[in-house]
Amino acid sequence: MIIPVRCFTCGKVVADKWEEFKKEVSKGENPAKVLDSLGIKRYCCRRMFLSHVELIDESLKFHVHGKEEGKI
Amino acid sequence: MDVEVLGTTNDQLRLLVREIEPTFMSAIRRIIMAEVPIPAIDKVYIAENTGVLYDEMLAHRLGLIPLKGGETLTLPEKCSCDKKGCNLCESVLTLEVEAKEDNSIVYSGRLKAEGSVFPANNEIPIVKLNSGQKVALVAHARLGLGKEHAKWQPVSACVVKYEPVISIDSKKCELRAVCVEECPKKILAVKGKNLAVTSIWDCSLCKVCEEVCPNSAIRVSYNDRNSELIVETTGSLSTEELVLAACEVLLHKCEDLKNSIKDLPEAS
Ligand SMILES: [Zn+2]
Ligand SMILES: [Zn+2]
Repeated sequence: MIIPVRCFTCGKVVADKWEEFKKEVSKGENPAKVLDSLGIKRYCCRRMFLSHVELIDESLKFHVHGKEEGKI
Repeated sequence: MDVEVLGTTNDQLRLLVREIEPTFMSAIRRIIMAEVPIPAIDKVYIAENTGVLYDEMLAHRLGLIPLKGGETLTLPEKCSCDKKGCNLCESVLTLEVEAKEDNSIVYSGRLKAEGSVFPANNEIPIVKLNSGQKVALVAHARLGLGKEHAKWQPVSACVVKYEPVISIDSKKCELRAVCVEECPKKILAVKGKNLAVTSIWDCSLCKVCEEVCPNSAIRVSYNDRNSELIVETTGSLSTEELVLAACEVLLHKCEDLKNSIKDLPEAS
């Protein structure tokens, strides 16, 4: 859904680094290099980024509120 | 006992302790992980949540945000309120957001501290909201121990490791440097006419060098009299505070034991 706050395995906070990761990778940077520069060393934490799909963005498209209702 | 700092960053401390039982260092490690009290959000009263995340998910995410402060709080188990929760053992944070734009992210920095406890990290996304969606809640943080729930565990990685010992037989070594190539931690190097270890504490004792050496010139072992304690904090307490707090907890335990023994009725 949304990036988990912590790594499932070790408990390191990963959520605060997701946006930077996404930005750099969408620019075409090598994900391994981005993770290294973010200080994500263990593979338990690295898979949190590599395997994440931000589904909340899809979900939000179907949620309109108040005045906007009925636009979609 | 002899202590040396091998390296320290904002969130990590590498402490080398010489001439001590590894079991003792492990006791410190286990106390850091499970018995050093830190605050975390435990109860969330949601007044309004029109976003796409369910209340439960929201509460769960809030619980995992590392919090700082709360030095004056008491553990609920030791509080006069009998674990019900009062202003001596709980600290309140509030969150009230109405999104103005679509896809706006609500960060942990938006949590307003009403008491002594505040987020250790202001950049954690809590939820994403579309224009007009609202979240309004009151969260109660309390002290807790890692053995109760992982959100009260003040460290992500906390490890004790023995001192690696790499012995190189220079008579057998032909300097083919296969091990230099294969070592996953890249701690071996050829210096002049000798094979040398560049940073012994980075060795993970994987013994790949042993396996690839055609002459069996290299041996990996360890010395369990010296150990390294690696502490990686999640942000609630600094690594130094954590190690000291753990020692304090262990001292209290010993004190408790001592007192209970003193209180024993005289053996006949
Ligand atoms: Zn991890
Ligand atoms: Zn109380």
